[in-house]
Amino acid sequence: MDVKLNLIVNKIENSKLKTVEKNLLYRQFVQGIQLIVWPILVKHMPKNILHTLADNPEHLTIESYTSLITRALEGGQAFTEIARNLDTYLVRTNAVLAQAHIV
Amino acid sequence: MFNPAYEIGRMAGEQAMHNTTGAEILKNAAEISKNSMRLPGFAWINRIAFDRFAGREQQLAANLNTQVQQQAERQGHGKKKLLIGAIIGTAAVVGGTLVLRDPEIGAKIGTLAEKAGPWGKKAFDVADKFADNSAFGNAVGRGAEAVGKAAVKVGSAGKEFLGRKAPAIGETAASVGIGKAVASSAETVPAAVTAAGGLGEKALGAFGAAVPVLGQLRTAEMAGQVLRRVPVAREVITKADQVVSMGPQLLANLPALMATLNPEVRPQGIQQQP
Repeated sequence: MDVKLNLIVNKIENSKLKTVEKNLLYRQFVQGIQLIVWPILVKHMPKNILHTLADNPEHLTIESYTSLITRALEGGQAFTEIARNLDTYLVRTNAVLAQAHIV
Repeated sequence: MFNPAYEIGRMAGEQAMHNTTGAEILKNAAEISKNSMRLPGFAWINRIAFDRFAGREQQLAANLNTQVQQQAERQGHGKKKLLIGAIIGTAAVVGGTLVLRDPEIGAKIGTLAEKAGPWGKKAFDVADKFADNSAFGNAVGRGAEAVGKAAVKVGSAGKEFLGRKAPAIGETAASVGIGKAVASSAETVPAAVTAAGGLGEKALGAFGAAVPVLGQLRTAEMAGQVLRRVPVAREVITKADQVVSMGPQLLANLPALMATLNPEVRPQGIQQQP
């Protein structure tokens, strides 16, 4: 995965795109990753705790928030889904860059 | 005309639709925005999707960020220190993960920690709190321990560098850096670096998104495998190092920094819900 990630970054960085265009690509890339990962994490968060915290945000702490993420990753299912989806996204992003002649 | 930025965003939306979680909400968001898909990029649909699907989650992140920020402001820290704090804290978290696998990077982190002084120590303290029993937590905790030890070692030098407010700044750095790294680091890192003058924005922008994702992957083994060669990570550390070196200059350039903190570049993950 790091190879694919690095490849994409290097392609964008070494392209002849304007800085503003590169930044837009990076931003979309970041948002894309977030959009793919967060739903999976949220799906695996304990709903009762999630809703309890959301209904009582004054009780939110760094520990409780990170606990939600940790709990989401327990069991390995979220990990598997994230890895699979992220890998797919990196492959497809690379293909898009190629289509745009960013090689 | 083929627009790669748009395609990258569209692809993510399409792929997210195939995930079971929030698929309906995302679908609704897509339907609502299908006439607006010509908008450059898909920040718009992204925002709608998350507002609807992950409103609760995002509310948590927003509240967490607000708490941290209010705490920092009560302590008399301005946004300039929040920015630096985010950079240092994030560097500590990133480094904490990496240091497990690469002694060379570990040494580099140690150097960073020496420069950061008490910031690193505080980052260690907070990281240690959420180390818990998770593999990622342990990875961060153990990695941060190296930062912390290095920071302790040069604590007096760090305090001299930062002055008497160093511990409070460190606390802000740790809270903001780690809190944001967990809550919304995907966009905090590039935003912070952009505000800091654009240093390392490219590398951090992409890798900053991936690091928390990778770090949250369940096993340290996987994180280690992914980060084994860490060429991008090295770049991150290098850039973070440069940012640290630029600290005094950043402080002198506060107006310019603040000018960059407009809503358009502020990461969505830390925006307040309407």
